[in-house]
Amino acid sequence: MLKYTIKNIFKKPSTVKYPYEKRDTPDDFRGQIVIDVDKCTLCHFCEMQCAANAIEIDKENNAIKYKIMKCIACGECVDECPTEAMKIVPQPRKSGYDKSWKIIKVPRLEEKLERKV
Amino acid sequence: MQITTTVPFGPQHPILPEPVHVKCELEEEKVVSVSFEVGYAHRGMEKALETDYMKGIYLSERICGICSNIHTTTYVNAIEKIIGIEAHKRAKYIRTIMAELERLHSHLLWLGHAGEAVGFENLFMRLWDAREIVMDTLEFISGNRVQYAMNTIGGVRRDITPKKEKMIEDHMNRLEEKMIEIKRDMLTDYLLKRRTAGVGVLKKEDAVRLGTVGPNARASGVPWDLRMTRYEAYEYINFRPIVLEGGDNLSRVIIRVEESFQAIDIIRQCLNQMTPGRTWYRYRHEVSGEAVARTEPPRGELFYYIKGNGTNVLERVKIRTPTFMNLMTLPTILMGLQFADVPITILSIDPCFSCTDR
Repeated sequence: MLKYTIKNIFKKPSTVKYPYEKRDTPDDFRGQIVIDVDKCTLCHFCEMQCAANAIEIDKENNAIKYKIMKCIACGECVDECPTEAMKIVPQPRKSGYDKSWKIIKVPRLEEKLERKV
Repeated sequence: MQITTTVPFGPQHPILPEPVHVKCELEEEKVVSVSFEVGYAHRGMEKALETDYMKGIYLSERICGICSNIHTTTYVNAIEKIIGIEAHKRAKYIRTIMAELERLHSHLLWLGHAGEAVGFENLFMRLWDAREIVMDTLEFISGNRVQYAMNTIGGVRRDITPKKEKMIEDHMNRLEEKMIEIKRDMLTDYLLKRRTAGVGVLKKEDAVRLGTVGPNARASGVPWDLRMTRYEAYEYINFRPIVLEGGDNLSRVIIRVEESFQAIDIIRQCLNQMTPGRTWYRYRHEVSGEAVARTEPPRGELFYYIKGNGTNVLERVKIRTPTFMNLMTLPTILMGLQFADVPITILSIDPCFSCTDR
């Protein structure tokens, strides 16, 4: 016990001084979910799979409704997406108070084609 | 005539952050009668689990904060039994590694708490420092420190890449080094011995009669370990459950230290035996029929009963958690103790009330 105490005097602290120093996040860290609107086909797969009901597809207005406060970042929508439009990136999620639905507009097929031409 | 006083322990108590109300009747300082109340953290989880079985995986993960992965493993095992599929072999190994890492995490956390409860704060700091290594390992494997979202029907969702394998090995070596030092200082310590040896004795007959499970039963000499039923990858792994004879608080401390070393050994065996292969496949099917699954979480024995009605929505989920069984020993082990020994003795069964109340 005494040996451990003396050894510890010369050791670095095991904690990280947060604002000045940051831990590196692991490669598979589940942070934010990013949606690539150009690839999305509004197929409802993510909506059906979401355990927290954080995604809703609005086909009439061509939009994805996403509630960040509900999302548990399990990544099930990312696994399920057939067109790989959803991605999970290892940047930590920002804190916030906004509980409203975030509406992400998806361009219609004609618009996409026009852009390509 | 002796005057009895009633002293409550909880629902809020500095030693135990979770809500339980234990009423101790004292004659002078001696406990003569004990009754307890649970149910403060009831959330209606069993009813909420009557949903799409794929969504249920993530809900069952949130029943307990510490043993979250083993809850999903048991749930997934039961569903796999109903559907009639089996996970890939590599997935089984990964599930075993996760279960053992979780056992390490839970045991180190509990040992730290026990140190704090007997007034040995230095031990608390050292054990939680060692636990941080396990938490980092879990974060590197799954991408999250607490709720891992690893299991799915038919396997696991993330593979352990060679880079991760090497990292786990490094971390286990570092942890073992630290644990050997801690074990030496801990089990030769005068204070810890005086506070725990011979306190809260649970005899073997009582342990069998009251249906004690997990490390508490094994500390009383009952060789009861569900890992010996060889679920997941335990059938390929060479290990014997650790059984002690004492039955007092000290035995319950020692058994958790020894099981931590055993967990490190099992993780190494898994890493050596794993062969490359697929880890999961997408499986969609209606769930009809019923099944039971049992596993060994860090605290004892976990039981899931699941019934499906032919759609993808489950009809009934019944969960029995280890603390529910271990709580029944409280009146026996607390009887005749000094009141100062009550907190560490209640803590010694490693109670988890968010599991028990669900």
